[in-house]
Amino acid sequence: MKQNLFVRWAAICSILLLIPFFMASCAKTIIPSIPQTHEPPRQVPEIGEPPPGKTIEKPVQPQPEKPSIPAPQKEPRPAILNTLIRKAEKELLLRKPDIAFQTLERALAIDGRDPEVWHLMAKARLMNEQYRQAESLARKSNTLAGDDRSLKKKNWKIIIRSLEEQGRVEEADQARRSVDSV
Amino acid sequence: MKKKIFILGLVVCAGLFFLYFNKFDRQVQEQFQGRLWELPALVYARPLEVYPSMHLVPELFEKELILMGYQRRKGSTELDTPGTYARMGSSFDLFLRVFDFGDETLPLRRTRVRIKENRVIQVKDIKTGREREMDRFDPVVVGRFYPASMEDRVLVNLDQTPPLLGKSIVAVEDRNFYTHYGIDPKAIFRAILVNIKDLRLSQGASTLTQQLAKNFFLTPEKTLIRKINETFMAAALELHFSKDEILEAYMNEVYLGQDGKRSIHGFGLAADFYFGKSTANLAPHEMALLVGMLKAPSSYNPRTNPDRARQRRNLVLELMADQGLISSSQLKQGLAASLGVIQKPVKGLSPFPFYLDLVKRQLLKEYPENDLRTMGLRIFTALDPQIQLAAEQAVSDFLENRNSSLEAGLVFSATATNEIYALVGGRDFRYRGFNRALDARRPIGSLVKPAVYLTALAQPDSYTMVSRVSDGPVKIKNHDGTFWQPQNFDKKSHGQVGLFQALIHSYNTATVTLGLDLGLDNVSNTLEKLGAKPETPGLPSILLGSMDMSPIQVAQMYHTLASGGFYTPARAIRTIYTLEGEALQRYALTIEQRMDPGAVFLVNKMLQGVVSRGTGKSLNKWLPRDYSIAGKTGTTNDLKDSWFAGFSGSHLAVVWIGRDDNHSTGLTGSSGALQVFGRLMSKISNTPLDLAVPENIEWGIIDSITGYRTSGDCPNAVSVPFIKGSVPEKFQPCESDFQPTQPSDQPLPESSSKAEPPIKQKTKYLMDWFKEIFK
Repeated sequence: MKQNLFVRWAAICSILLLIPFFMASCAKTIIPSIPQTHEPPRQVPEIGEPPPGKTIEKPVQPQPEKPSIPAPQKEPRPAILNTLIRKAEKELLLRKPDIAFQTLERALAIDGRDPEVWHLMAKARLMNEQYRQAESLARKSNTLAGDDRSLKKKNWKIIIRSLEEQGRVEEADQARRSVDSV
Repeated sequence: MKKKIFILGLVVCAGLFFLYFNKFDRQVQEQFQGRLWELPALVYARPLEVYPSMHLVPELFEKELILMGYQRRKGSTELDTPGTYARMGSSFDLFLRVFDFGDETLPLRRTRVRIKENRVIQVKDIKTGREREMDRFDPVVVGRFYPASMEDRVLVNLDQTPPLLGKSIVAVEDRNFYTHYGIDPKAIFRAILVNIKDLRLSQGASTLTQQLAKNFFLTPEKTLIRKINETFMAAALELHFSKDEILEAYMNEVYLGQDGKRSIHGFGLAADFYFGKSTANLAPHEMALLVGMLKAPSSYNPRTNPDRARQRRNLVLELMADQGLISSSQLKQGLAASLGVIQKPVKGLSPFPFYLDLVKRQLLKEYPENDLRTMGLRIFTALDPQIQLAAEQAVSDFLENRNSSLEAGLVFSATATNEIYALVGGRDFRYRGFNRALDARRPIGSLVKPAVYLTALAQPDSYTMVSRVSDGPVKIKNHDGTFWQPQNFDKKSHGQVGLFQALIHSYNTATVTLGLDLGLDNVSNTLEKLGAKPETPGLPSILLGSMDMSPIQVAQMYHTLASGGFYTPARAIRTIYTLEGEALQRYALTIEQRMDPGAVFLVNKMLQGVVSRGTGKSLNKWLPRDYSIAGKTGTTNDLKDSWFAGFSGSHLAVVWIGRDDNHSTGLTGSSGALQVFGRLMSKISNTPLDLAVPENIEWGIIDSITGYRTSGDCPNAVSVPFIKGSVPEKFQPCESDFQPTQPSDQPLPESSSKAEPPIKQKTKYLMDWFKEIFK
């Protein structure tokens, strides 16, 4: 045991001496801390994609023909989507959650991945006192909200309120912590 | 005495007469207080909503207009009646009908829709010239649920119909309608004379009221008793109802033709059936044709006997002119006009019987069948006719020139709402028969695998996408002492493979090994959460999909993946309205978070890998890679079933190809069902699947060869998503020795332990040694 301790100390001392050398040698290879990013790092391909500039793939079957349809293009948000969202907001202000929900379902048919639409749906269900639905819809909105912190906060508020109304106090406390992290 | 007897007899007769009349009187009152007609339920597709920037293929748009019963005109100036359109290249001018959508009623209007490169660039009100954000078109009728009598009608109010129609009916059928009390003695006397002369009952003298009474309450035979009853009934009707009410009831009641088993009743439906119009928009010669048909609807059917119908129409037109109902110029115009009858809009009872079947099943769970068939309900569904047509085309194109025994089932839904937009139940799309999309329960093969991997990835402490699992031979003892020895499709073992590789290449033995490690109960539990109903007790073979499911059940299961772990029950119906326009029931969207979005995200990433590099690679023939479709192929033993389930950012589709006799199709999931999926998806609008990264996901830069963390400039570096806290701790710098010797999605080198994440591997490098020391 003592011998082991001695070896450790000896190693530590020698390392301390060697540190400057190491610093010099490692200058070019920066070791990242655990590379935690919420979005995928751009400088490297994602798993399943070939590395840039490398043709390491061995074709096992004939290359498929080129598809006839063009690649998708990013389209601007249709004006009608904004109109429907505004309409739903007004309906919510007038405390007509069912009508607002119908309007929002029409909006979903135009863009099913709009986090604002899901958020308003959650709001409508909260007004309906359908707390479980409100919670799920707000969570769904959060999964689509990306970097929209303000929307996420609003969703968390709905989640907290829904949990409280359902008597799930501990989960509500946990959710409060999540809001803080947002 | 004789006088007394006579008076007594008279009183008794009067009493009997009164009693007899009273019987009919009560009957008439009872009947008219309730619903007069059994009205079929009408099932609508989703109303097409057109707005600038939406994807719209002109050809599919026009097909939908035709299904909506719109008639093409040569130019914009010829849009004379609602329900007509003119097409100029990719620009459409439409005269849109009035329609009550339940939440709003849109009036008659003329709209221009301009399309460029399959995108709507303008929606404009032609009259005002104002651009519109959106227009909503009256929907296609998917089908009807008829009463047992098979009578169909569209009710009209007298004030909705042009006065000329009522006047023409009166002029032709009962000139003294407004002056008699239900019975026209002069007409009866005239008829008696004619009948005596002919020595048979050839001449009728029925008033409109009598005809109505006969149709409502009596049988069609020509007997004296029936005639007497008819007279009593007519008198009772006249006693309680106004002339206008009687005329309106007559217009809605009369028989005006046949469409297969369905009988066409009333002027409302007849106007639509023969001219594609509402009664309000009928021209005088069209009214004359319909009024002329009253005498003998089949003899004067303009589709089968156009010459006879024309003669009769012209006769009626002349009568109308004689009575001063139309001017001489209108008469001239009318006589010169063509019959103007449209082709039968839809052959058979429904253009989409398989979808209608789905709707009916959903309805029958909640409503008695008789109510469905008689209450005149209006049922709005999610069916998208353009997608439905594209789906049918995709199936028929694929099956063309192939074995005629091959059958198909297809379910297409929206990823956001799980509304079913299209459904194909077999290769004969107009046949109301075995609905394979709903009823063909077949083994799903590898379609089950995402559930196995999801079970693993939901345990981030034990499994990540780069965890290793053995793809070596598997031998499991069955209860009966025999052995189950699953093999890979290529009959090879691939050693230790990462979970990502195992799923994208659909390795059977690796999946079974993983599934057994996870436990069958856990996998079954995941399947249940996804919306499948696995049989219990589960056998190891469920890990390779030896569980029977129908395409619609598979769609439900994959929808939970496509929606990021949120379960939403599949829906076909949106809202049901009563005849009076009240919402009877709405089927609103409901969602329930059942799976961790992080774990689902990882599985979906892997399913994208299936399409980009794995067994679903041939989809790239149909769609550019940028759509990033996620999907999974499925093939069962002896190639009996060919499956593909996949989704884009907006849509999900499940395709099954197989045979009803359960023989081999000769197709794999990739060479069969996937090809149908590709054909379909390439014909419709899709949003790329840009998976939203959940909160609990972080990315690690991983050496694709070693599975360790590495630096970004390393040649084998790939970014891999992990559930927070599960990124391997071990870091390995770039080493010149570690050059890529195999594709990055190929099996990783064997590790010391089965299914062990790289985190637990022995240290090999100087840096690791130092780290150990500093621990």
